[in-house]
Amino acid sequence: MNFNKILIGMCAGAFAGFGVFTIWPSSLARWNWLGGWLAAGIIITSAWLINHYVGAMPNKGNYAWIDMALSIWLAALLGGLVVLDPVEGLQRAAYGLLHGANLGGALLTILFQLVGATIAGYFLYYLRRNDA
Amino acid sequence: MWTWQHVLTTVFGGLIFPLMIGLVWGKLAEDFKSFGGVLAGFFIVGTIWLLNHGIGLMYEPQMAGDLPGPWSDMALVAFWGLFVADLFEGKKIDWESLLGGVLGGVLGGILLFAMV
Repeated sequence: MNFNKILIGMCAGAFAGFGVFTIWPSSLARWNWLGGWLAAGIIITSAWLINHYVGAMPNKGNYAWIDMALSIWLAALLGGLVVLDPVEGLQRAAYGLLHGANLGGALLTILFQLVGATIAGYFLYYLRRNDA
Repeated sequence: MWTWQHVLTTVFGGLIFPLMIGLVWGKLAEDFKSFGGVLAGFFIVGTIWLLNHGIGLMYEPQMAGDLPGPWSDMALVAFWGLFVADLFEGKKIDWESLLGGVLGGVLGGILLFAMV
């Protein structure tokens, strides 16, 4: 266990998580669906550069890949969404577990997301095995 | 209420995102280095966000009502898809990295909680 690496990964992951759920709802509120598309390029790219391009998220070669997406998903689940509304200003758009939101409401969504992702994981495994 | 239509669209949304990342992102980064990440941000994450959350393939009934949340972002499937693909391959779990990711989410969540 390298404490510093975990700490750096934590800060880089928090940047991704906080950045996505402030910029994304704000960009969506400002420019509608095109804002949502732009938000991906604005924040995901920057977060990817620090987390994975230069490797602040401490992934090692022969281990299962931990994506910054884990931090992103968990940040919204815990802290909800914050939006900079063009008219109303800085506002809360959704609540998280830290506010006492009920996890039960999201459980089926999480379950079916995981089902889809597991199928995709198998497809990726299958394609890599057969290409290599 | 959940119907079979919601199940189908949510599962498909969860399938397409990690598949696209796993197949395309690495190639873009290989071809264009850091600029590949810019392209991937817009054309993988941006475009699939439009489908999953913009249009709404992923059904999130908890977002209706007075106290909306908690939000389960499509980021979950990006993490899980790439993670299990490596597990199927027999790779081990790197606890240091996993802990970094989880703590990042916790700190990010606290920051969001602290904002407004």
